[in-house]
Amino acid sequence: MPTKEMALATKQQKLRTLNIDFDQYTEGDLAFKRELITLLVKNVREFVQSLSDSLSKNSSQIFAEACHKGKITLHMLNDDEYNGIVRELQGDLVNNNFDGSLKRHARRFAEVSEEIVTSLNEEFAKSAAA
Amino acid sequence: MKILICDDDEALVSMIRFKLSRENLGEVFKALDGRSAQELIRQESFDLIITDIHMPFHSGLELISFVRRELKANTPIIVLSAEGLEDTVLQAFEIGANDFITKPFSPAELAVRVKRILKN
Repeated sequence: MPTKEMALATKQQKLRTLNIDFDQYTEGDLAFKRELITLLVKNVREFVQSLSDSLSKNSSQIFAEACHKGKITLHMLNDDEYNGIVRELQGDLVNNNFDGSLKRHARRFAEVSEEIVTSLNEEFAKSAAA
Repeated sequence: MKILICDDDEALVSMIRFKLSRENLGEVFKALDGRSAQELIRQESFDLIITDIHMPFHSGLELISFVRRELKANTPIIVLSAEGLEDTVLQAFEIGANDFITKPFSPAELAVRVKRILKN
């Protein structure tokens, strides 16, 4: 029987199809691709942290500002579900919808963020091995 | 040519820096907030400044104002703005911006605008 921890570990390692057109930004330069991936991972981590800060400080502004700052990252990720959840969360926070859809969206946001980070890290490893 | 990019999104700055260097458009400097941008502008003479509007410490509008009013410099300035900030862009033009580009944009599009401005 898989334990709860094993299930969590499996979930955390779940990969996601990345829709990023790396060549458009890196023009085949692998060193820059790795630099860009590192910065994208940092931005996704910042999104996650900003949502946590927004919730703990009861401020929609923190998450909204992080999303504004990372607009290009969201555009580059080109992930319809992720962009949709970000928009939903911004609405939930503004409307103080803490007991309704916010919990569901926050949970999915954390899952997708983790999948994106895992996939970006895998892309980084592939690029380093090339 | 010396180009300064000011934006608090390091991924974006890195992307622009890479593209402009790739196009051999000159030496590219970066500032991740308005305060360090002002410090760099005091120290170096730039041929072009590319700036975001929303940055920590000093906004892009404050930076344009600093260049035009305080330093009385005519360094070309390109503003990076998000959609829905048309009023802010107009304000940027009023205080001396030369061009703007709406986020998200492709690095190639920005490179074309930079070349055009540097040529003039």
